[in-house]
Amino acid sequence: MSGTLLEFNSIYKEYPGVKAVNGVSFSISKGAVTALLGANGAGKSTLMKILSGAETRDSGDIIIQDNYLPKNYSTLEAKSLGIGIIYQELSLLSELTVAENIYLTNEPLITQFPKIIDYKKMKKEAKHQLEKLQVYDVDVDEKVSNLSLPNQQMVEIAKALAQDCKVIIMDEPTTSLATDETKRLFDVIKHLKKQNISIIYISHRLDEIFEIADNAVIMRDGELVNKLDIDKTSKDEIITSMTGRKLNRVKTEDEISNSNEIMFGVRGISDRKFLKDISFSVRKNEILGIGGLVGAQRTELARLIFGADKLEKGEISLNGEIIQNKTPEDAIRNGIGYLSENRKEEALNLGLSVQENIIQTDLPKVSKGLVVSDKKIIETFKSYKQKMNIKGAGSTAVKNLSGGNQQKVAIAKWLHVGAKLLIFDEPTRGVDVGAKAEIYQLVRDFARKGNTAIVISSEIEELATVSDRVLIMAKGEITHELKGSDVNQDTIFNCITTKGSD
Amino acid sequence: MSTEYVVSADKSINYKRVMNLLFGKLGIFLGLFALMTVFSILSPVFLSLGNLENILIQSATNAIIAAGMTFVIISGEIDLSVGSILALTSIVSGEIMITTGSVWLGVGVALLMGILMGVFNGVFVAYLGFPAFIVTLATMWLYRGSAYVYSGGQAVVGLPDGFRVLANGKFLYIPYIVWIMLIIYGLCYFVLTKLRMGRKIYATGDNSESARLSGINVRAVKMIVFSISGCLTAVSALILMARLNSAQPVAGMTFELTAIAAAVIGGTSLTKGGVGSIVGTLIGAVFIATLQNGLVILNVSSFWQQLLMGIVVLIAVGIDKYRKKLS
Repeated sequence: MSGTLLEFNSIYKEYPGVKAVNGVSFSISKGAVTALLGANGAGKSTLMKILSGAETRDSGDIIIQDNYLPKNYSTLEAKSLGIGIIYQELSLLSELTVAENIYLTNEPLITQFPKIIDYKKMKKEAKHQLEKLQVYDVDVDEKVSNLSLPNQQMVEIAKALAQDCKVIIMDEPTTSLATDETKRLFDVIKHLKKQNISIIYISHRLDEIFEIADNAVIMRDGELVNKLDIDKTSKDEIITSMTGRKLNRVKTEDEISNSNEIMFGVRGISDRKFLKDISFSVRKNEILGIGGLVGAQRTELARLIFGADKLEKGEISLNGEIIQNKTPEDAIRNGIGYLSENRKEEALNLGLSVQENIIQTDLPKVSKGLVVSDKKIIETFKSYKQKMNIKGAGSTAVKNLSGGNQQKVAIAKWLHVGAKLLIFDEPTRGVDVGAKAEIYQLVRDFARKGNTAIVISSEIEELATVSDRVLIMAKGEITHELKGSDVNQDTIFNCITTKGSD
Repeated sequence: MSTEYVVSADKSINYKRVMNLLFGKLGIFLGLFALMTVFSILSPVFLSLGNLENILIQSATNAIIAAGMTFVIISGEIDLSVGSILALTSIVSGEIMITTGSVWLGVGVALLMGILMGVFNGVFVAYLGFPAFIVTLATMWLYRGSAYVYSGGQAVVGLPDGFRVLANGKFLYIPYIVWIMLIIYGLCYFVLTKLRMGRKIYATGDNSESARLSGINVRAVKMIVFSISGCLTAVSALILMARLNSAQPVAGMTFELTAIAAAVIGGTSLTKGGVGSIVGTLIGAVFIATLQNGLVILNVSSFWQQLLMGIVVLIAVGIDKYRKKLS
């Protein structure tokens, strides 16, 4: 590694009542991957918004290759300064082609006035940019909306390269990626390093940090609390720096469910397209994990059980009785809840208040006849606030809560309706380490009270931590069942990656 | 240094709270108050009891349609067909009143037709997934065309005398029309804020997929809001008929736009469902009627009225935008 590329020098940014970034200084070397870590609300996003020109800093210097950046610059100017950012929600224009996206605002021209785009050259160079990333299976004439998510991400990176970025910020790039796709992304990152491009890598997944990062910068409450060399640190040290406390393990051997009573089962269920003859059952008090790659159709299975999509054939039973879930309404009446993986789009009414969201699944419970009782609503909210440690008032709009607190509200909805089976789809996506531990505890508390939980997760560590038993799915079928001591990270990883060869 | 920081933060929070109140719930009341002050200074007749009564009567037709429109907009949809629903219901029910001589039969038919036309809109939106803008644009022509075809383009005149009572009658010194408007708003307020249905309407408008996955029957919600809109439009049709003592196939042109304007001025968001208040819409409708009334009293040409309405709507949307920025 050859010298410093970028330097932050006592950056301050204050919002009314909050010091979002409080005197942060650090530097980034050329060709290094720097992990930027911290719980939700630690200030990492604000710092990155400042760097990428989306926010203005109050004071402090940003120096890139010995040039002091002006106090005010736009995102477009940031790009021309060599700073590229890849957001968690990708920012490509989905109706344009791959080539058009890569060269957006930077198109090669035939004539300067009027500006006529040289499509031939643009396509050729776009192809070249993708090949630099060893991406050969993307057609530059394809509309972006027709690409898989991992390929869209590659297009984003190619776009940054086309604009000659020296530093690329990646905000939780692996959230929606399966294991093999993550590996491909890491190969690309290693490749970028060789070209002396620096990466600022934001992630909640510590395993990834140890695999890909060279060093880590840890923020807490707007301040920089630690700078670590990845080779000389441990997970525990990082977690302690991030939260100020240690992550408690949720599962111990004697806590594993031991009821034999079958509570929920499906037999031979299929939808029209993806799922073929799925059968499994879950016992009372049990937490069943479901793992697999993206495309394994785990979410589709959950939606089928919940009546959100149409069941073509097969039976669903709860407590020994066959139930019909034609709509989510039916499923809820039958005692089934589904916590969607898309928290913001499907699990919550972001514009409504916390208490409005919680009571939604069961309005009769807080009503006298047809009239809802404000008193009962407030009582309900207070009891969940206390039980689940939800931050904020009942009248706060859910969109103003952090990811972890939003997720707790989404779970409270299903506790409110008294679901017997709750399907948790990616329950800790985008929540910080502290809230993660709390959510695991909530899942366990729920199941151990005579209910049943199904946890769908792409995080192998999560499956191993929280599940009593794990099913692995691939391409719409169950390929493995892991019990007892087989529920560990290595075995789960092997089963997922071998794609049901047995 | 640190104490200074706290003080400035407190100040800005207070400032924010005041601004929120000024441009939020209170804003529309203040706007109406300011408008009335200006008119009462410019004209001595404006504040007379008779004129205030006039304003309320003039606002009623629009206000009642706008109440239904508020339900539709909060649920995340739009209803452009209300003006045409008004025309068709008044033509048909007027015809029935004249041929049968029964006022009540006419009223019953009008309400039923309003509901059915709303249901027709609702089926396309809720069950077939058509965009409400397009569906109600189509039914706007469909219902209007039916009114022309049915009436042959002629006004229906000679309504029974008993029906005129609706326009002239008073109870406790207050005209029936104003009572009807107030009762409807009372009921709408109750439904939106106290009934389970109200919660479902807000939830559906905020995010219909998430509402559906929470067990809310969003199709039923959409059917209901469109029927409410149709039904209230029919009520408005009856009031207009009684006031004009005739039913006309051209009645109600652009009423959908005035109703939407009342809702928007009252703080209901047209761009995002799940936001809005029925009280705001009432004040919005009274605001529009006040503006029109005051300009007539001041002898300002109706061309200027339209121009000013445009400015008012832009200001209302601007305030809404500013409020969002504050929160």
